[in-house]
This record gives sequence, C-alpha cells and structure tokens, in this order.
Amino acid sequence: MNNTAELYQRIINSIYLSLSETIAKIPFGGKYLLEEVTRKVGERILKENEKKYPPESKRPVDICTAYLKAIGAADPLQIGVIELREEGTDVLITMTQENCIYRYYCEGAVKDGLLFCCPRLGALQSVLTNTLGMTYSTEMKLFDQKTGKCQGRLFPVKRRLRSEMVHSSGDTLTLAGERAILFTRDVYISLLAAIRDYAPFILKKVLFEAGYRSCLPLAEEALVFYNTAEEALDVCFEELKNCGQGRLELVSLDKKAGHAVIRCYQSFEVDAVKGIKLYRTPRVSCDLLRGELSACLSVILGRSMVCMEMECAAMEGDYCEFHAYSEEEEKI
Amino acid sequence: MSGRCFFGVNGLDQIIPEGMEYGTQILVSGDTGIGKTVLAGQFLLEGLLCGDTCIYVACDESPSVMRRHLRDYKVGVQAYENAGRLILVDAYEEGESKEKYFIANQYSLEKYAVMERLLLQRFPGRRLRLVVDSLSTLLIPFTQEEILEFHRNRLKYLRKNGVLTMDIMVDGVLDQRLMTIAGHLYNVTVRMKFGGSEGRPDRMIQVGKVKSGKFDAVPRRFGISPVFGIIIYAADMEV
Repeated sequence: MNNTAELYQRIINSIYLSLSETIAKIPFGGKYLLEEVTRKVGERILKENEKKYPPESKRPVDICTAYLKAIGAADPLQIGVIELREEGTDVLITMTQENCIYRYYCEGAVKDGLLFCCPRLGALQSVLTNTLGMTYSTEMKLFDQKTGKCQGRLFPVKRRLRSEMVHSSGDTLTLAGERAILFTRDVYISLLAAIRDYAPFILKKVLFEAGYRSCLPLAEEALVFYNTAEEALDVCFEELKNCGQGRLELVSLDKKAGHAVIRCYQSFEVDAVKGIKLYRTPRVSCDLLRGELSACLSVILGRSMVCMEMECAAMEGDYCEFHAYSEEEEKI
Repeated sequence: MSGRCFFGVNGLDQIIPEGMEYGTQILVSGDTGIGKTVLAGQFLLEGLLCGDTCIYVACDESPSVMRRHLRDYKVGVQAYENAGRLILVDAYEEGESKEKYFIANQYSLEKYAVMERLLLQRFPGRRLRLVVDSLSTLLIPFTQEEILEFHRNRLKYLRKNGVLTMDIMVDGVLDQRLMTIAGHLYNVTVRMKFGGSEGRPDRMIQVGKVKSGKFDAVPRRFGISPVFGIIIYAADMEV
C-alpha cells in the first residue's frame, strides 16, 4: 500500500472512530444510528455496483457472495479475506483481520470501549436488507488473536428496540413512529408534587399503576419476538434503560416458582427525588419502575406478579432491589 | 434509633409534622369495626416502605387475615416475609397454629412478655415496629394490678430498646378506669369511634400526645377506602 492509500485508510478509520465516540453520547438509539451509517455506506456502494451484482439465488449466503464478488472486482483486498457460511436464516462471516482496511477502527473501538459496527458487516447487512426486503442486524465477535480472524453474524431482526427509534421530524418528536415527549426532571417532579399536594395518599399507587399500564405493550411485544423469558426481560430492561430509568439486572429468575430478583443501578426515580421533600421520611421511591417491572414479569411469565422494592438507593446502597412473587403463590 | 416515623395515614401524619421517635408507644382504642386493624395495616406498610422490620401479633384472629388485608392493598407480603422484614405472629390459634411464629399458652402475662422480648431480640440493630392487635384480648383474664405491672415493665423495655409500638385495645373489653390509667403510660393515643347521628354515623379519629399535649386533639372524620385504606376528610369536605 502506498503512503496516500494508507493516509486515506487512516482517515476513514478515524472518521468511524469519531462517529462511535460521538454516537455513544447520544441518549437514544446510538447503536441504531451507527448501524444506519455503516448500512448506508454499504447501500451507496451497492448502488454503484448494482449491474455487477446478480445473485445466484435468494439464499442470504448467495446474495452476500454475489455482492463480495462484485466488490472484489473493484477492491482486490476483499478476495480470500472473507469466508461465508449459512446457518438457517443467518450468515456467519469469518474475516482475516491482517488485511482488513478497518482494523484501526476495530482495535481503537475495543481499546476505548466504544460502540462498534463493522463496516464490512454493515455493507452485507445493507445488501441483504435491500435484496430480501427484511431488516437484518449484525453481531460481531471481535478479533481472535489465536486465529488472527474476526467472526461476525448477520441475522434477520426480530424486533428493533422502540427506544432506538427516536426521530425529530419537523416540530415533533417521534418514538417508533408514535408522537413522543421528552420529560425533564423538573416536569416529572412537578407532576409528582402536584399529585402529592392534591391527594398524597394516591401518589405511590398512581406511579405504580402508570408504570404497570405503560409497560404492558412493551412486554407483550417482547413476548412475541423472543423465545425465552430471560431474552424477553432483557429486551424490556434495555428499553427501560434507553428511556433513562437506569440499568437493570436480572439477579435470579425461578419461572416455575414465579419468583424473580431484579436490581436497578442509577435509578432515575432515586435521582429525581434527591433534594426534594416528596415524602415525610426516607423510603423506597421507585414506584414507577416497580409497576413497570411488575407488568413485564406478569406478561412474560404468564402469571400475575407482585413486585416489591426491598432496597432503594434513595435510602442507602448503590442499587435498588426488587423482589417479585406470583400472586397465586401469595395466596397459598 | 435514628430518624422519625409516622403512621402512614396522611391526615394523621399532618397532625404530627415532626413525626414520632422510634421507641414511641401508641395506644389505639376504639369501637369494634371502626377500622383499628386497617390503621394497623397502614402503620405496618409505612414501616415496610421505610425499611423497618415489622412485627404483628394477631390475638383476635389468625395472622392470615392481616396477610390477606395487606394483599388487598397490593402489598407483596411474601417478599417481606421471606426477607424477614414482616413477622406475623399467631397468638390466636395457639398450639394449632401453622404459622412460623406463634405464641401458645398466653395465660401468663410474664410468659407473654418474655416471648415478646425473645422475638424482638432476634432482630438486633434493626428499626422495629411492633403491633399487638388487640392487646385487650390478651389482658382479659388478669387483674388490674397484674395488667398495670405488665404494662409498666413491658413499655419501659420497648421504649428503652427503641421499638415503635402500637397496642390496639377494643372498647368495652377492659374496665374504663383501667383503660384511663393504662392510657397514661403511652406517648401517643389514637381514639377511633363512631359519631354523628344514628341514621348517618360517622367514623371519627382523634390523636393526642399524652405527655406533651403537643398534638391537635380535634376529632376528625374519616372513611375507609378499599384501595387506599383510611382517608381523613378535610374539615371543609362534605361526606
């Protein structure tokens, strides 16, 4: 590679690294945006090479092979660098990193703990999405030093996180196509204070009910798209985290007994009530989240679950802990 | 014990803006069916939300009644019981009890006091709330002297150990004179009674702080909501 080519390669890698760095600071849909950028790059290249790209069949692996052949004519570096294998509807990709033009980006992202979407996978993702009319996503197992290879996977997306699809359109904000609003802490606290002033005895129940009702559609959707309770809960937790509720962790789940323990780190509700006298004495404060978790568990486990906040960071400790039991168990 | 504590009923808590200290003893007395156990349930829930360990001694009916009552208010009782934060003690079924905690053979006040202490000692370093519902049932077979002696020693111990205590007494079970004397041993008294006209009875509640007289002792009307429990009506609210 001559000096100019190497310089351009460095520039491209730096652009991707800067993108990853910037996007990590965006509150909603960072991963989605990064995927969109890499996918769009692939889409442009695809358009330029459209005539050279007649896939042998509609099998995802053939589509990817045809695309790589078309690109290979233009970029000899691709030839022999990428291996493709089919696994159901997924395509597994093994790539030699030695000659990869994006390796500085890849290594830099790992080193700095940044979001990473492999541009090569992004290009293939774009090809599959465009050819098959299905949304594909990517998953990358980063560089394995023993083999000197990277492994990735392209797979049809079951469902995109709603909270990753926040768009500003004209004068409105939408979340997964629905009109949305971003509440500041002041608005949230004012709402709570107003309820407390008019009817203090309903405050905790209102928060619980609001959390419960608002999370039912999310949990119902997760249940349809994911096979296991753990996966479905995981996606609900991801959505709640994206919405700013805090990082949720499933500590234990006993589906048979209908019992779960969940922790929340950096709960919004804990920070929200800091410094204001919402309650007379310090107490567990995450009732909205308690409602949301009760709804998720009830829908996903298929039985009515009662979730209690046993520890709250508003009182002490680094996290809030919720214990949930099934209502049938409660009645025994 | 640090911190202040409240009943968990907004209208009552407004009367005591500075709250009560742990170690305070509350006497709740009132007519049958007025809502004393509902108040006890809210007092327990308040404790659970504030991180206290709550002990409920059921003397008039099985602890399962309080369990059910709390569940009706959407409290996940099992979570608290399994975590050792809610202790329901059966002092009703005696030897036939299937509860984890029960007190059998309460025909000795001394024995009851010892068992109560042993139970409280199981939770060292915790903020404790104790509700005995109703203490008057336990006291029926005893003489006035025995009752007062028991009361003095027991309340002294509870105060010294910072146990926030609510003793419930049903009207008409014990001699009125005894009730008056016993009442003076408590820091706070809550009186619940039916008032108003015969055709339209009102529930009334009155809070007094015996030793300082700081509390507003004006009787207030209240209702019981199946969702929210005791709701104290504002002075200008039509019922």
